[in-house]
Amino acid sequence: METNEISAESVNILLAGIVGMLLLSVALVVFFIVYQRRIFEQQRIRLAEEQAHQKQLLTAAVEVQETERRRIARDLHDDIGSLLSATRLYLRQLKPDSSPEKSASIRAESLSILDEIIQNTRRITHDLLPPVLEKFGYQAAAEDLCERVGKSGGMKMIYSGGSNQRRLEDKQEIALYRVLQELVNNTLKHAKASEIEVVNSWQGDLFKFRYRDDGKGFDPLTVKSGGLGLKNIESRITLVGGSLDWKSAPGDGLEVNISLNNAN
Amino acid sequence: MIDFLDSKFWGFRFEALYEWTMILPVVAGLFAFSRHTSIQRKLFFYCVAAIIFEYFSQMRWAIDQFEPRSNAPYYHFFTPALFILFVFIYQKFLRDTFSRRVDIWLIALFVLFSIWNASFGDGLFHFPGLSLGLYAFLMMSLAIGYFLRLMTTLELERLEKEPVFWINSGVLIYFSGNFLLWLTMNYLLKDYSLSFSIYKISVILGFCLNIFFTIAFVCHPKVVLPIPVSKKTPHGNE
Repeated sequence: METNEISAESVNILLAGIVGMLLLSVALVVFFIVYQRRIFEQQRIRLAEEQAHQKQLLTAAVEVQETERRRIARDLHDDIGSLLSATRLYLRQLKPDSSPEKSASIRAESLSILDEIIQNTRRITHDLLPPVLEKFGYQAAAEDLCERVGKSGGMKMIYSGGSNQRRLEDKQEIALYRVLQELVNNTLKHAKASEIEVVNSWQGDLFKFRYRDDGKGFDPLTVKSGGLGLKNIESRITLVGGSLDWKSAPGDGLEVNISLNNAN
Repeated sequence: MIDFLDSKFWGFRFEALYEWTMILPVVAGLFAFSRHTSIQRKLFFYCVAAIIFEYFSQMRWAIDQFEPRSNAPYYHFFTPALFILFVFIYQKFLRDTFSRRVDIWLIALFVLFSIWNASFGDGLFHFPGLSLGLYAFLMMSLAIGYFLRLMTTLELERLEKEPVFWINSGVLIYFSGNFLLWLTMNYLLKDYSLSFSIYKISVILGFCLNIFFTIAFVCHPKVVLPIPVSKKTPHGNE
């Protein structure tokens, strides 16, 4: 009697509902598996990219060190070594039976070369670690560098350092100074720029550095990873816990922004 | 579809297939029990309890205890009991995702609802459709929630090696298939033979659940061994 109360239509709707929910749940499980795999695949790719980037930075760091060593060796060999050899040659001419005039001339020449050696040694040590950087910090050293480049002519230097005399950590100051040196050097060598702007500022505990030139710029896509110079810079900044971004385009100069978190 | 449900699977009734495969996860669970994770052990107790409940509720003696003869009262009791065991399986997920006492609250609310349903809802001598419907809904929510958590935390990589993945997939598929069926069971019972036929969907899903649970016992997640400390020996490092 009660059989008639359940219509075939309602049974069909129920069965359709059950099948629908089943399909939905199976689809959810499949979606989860596929989505999870895709995320892990992306993670793997990102990790590989990160590792490749770290490797590049390491290579750049080693390259920086080697370049620095080569430069010091060249400076010592060319400037100091040759002058010391010359002094030795002069001093070898000094003999007990030499005339007083000759002896006086050799002494004068030797002293002159020794003065030059002292000057060159001072220049080399100044290049390695400017006294102003050690004594007064990065901002003073950066200002000094900009002033010297500006005075040399051919390049307008705009420096803005603010009035905050707060200092960065020693290693950060040296790294930032080297970066500035490298950037200025690159601009002078390759950029054909007429103006360089350097801005240093503090934002709370964050030190901001901005470098901009109006040179010919370059296409970041054609210069692999921004070239070795920028890779060196990135390597230096990464080593002292900072972050860097840069932009450039043909005819649009170069802009580099660096942030350093100061723990002092 | 009804004809298919009334047919036999390789000569077996679907019910028999389900009842016999209930033993599979228990046997698989017993094997290498000491190597099981905490979730696998909790699942083992659930499977043992499910077998006991299932066979007990089918016993003639048990059915004869009530007048009118029925095994529905047992289902009113077993449903919250099995739900509690499932909550224990998902306990860590619940506590990590929500709060420390959410599992207690969930159990308390479900037990109260089951008591209400047995007393004033479906009634003690009727199929506990509402309780089972809520049970299915909560289990589906837990399974989906767990999947979402796995998706956001990415704590598991090789899913096919993780018991929790098989448990969760089995739970989601089993309860989503049963949800509407259980809710409408009291309505379907107006036509006993039809309801008996349709209920075989639940039996087939139960068979699938048993297979998923068996796989969950067979696979073991990768164990990360501590790095051995090298010892100096007269012949070098060990």
